[in-house]
Amino acid sequence: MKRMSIIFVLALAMVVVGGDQKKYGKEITLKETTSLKTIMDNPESWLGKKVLVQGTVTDVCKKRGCWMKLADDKEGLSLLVKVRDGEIVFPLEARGKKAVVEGALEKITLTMEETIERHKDQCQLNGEKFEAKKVTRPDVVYRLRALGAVIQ
Amino acid sequence: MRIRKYLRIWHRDLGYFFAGITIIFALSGLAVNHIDDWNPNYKITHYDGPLPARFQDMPPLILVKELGLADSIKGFVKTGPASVRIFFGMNVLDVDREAGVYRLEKVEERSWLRAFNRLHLNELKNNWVWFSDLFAVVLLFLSLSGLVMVRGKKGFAKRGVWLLALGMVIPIMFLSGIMS
Repeated sequence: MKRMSIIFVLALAMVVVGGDQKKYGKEITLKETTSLKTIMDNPESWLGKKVLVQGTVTDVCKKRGCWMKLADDKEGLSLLVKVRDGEIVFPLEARGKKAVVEGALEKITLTMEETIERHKDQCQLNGEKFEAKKVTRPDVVYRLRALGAVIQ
Repeated sequence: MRIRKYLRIWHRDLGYFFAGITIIFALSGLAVNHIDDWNPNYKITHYDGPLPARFQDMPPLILVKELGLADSIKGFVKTGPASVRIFFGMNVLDVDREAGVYRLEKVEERSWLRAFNRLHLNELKNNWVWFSDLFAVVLLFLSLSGLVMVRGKKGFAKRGVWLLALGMVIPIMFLSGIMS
């Protein structure tokens, strides 16, 4: 019984001390942040460039922690921050916290099927009727490929 | 043979030492294998409903206070001209004042499984990666030493080789598309 108790306490300790890390991925190297508005005003000029952005984490990938959405508190803009699966795992507890993320902006052109699915989801969220004929060209999405992040 | 005796001792003691982590990885493996069907880290429940009329024109801070969330709120962000997302604990409350609806996303952590998954999926990085590597090497040793530990009719040369071959045929069949 005593031996089993030791094993149980050790296992419990593992769960308790498994707290969240605050730093994710590589060390942040840039000193100055760039606002989301500056980037989103002219995203093409920022493609592939390393930037440091900050904002509030509004959502996180619930299953794999492989993306999070960062919102600008002033402008209400948001940017998708993506990582390779398993390279960095963002915890769901990050929602509502401030974060700084270093990474490179990338451009993703969705296929027509993906665009239609995206518009369907948006219409569903907004309670609007989806009309396929309104989708005439594939969507272009800008997102940040994260290298490192600090969540406060 | 002398070497067999030492293999047995090492197999036994390393087996004891790594039994706990083997169980953890096995349980996490089962949980993560089915990630498309369920969330192995959190239990997430949604509650939707109409927003009472008295809340509809309320500024976010007052709304939070009225809802009794003022003490636990982490923050909020505007998600649209008339919508706000409020964070409290691990939960999220979306309020759309124009549509007059709310959605509460309640999150409960599966503490044990999440801790196991963090270990198994190498989320801790740093030195844990080295320990995981050591575990992988030990698993290799346990497999190889296990093959040669038993002698005679039930040893590797007689019974073992057939079972080993059978065990290897299954992944080959999956890879070749015979099984899917």
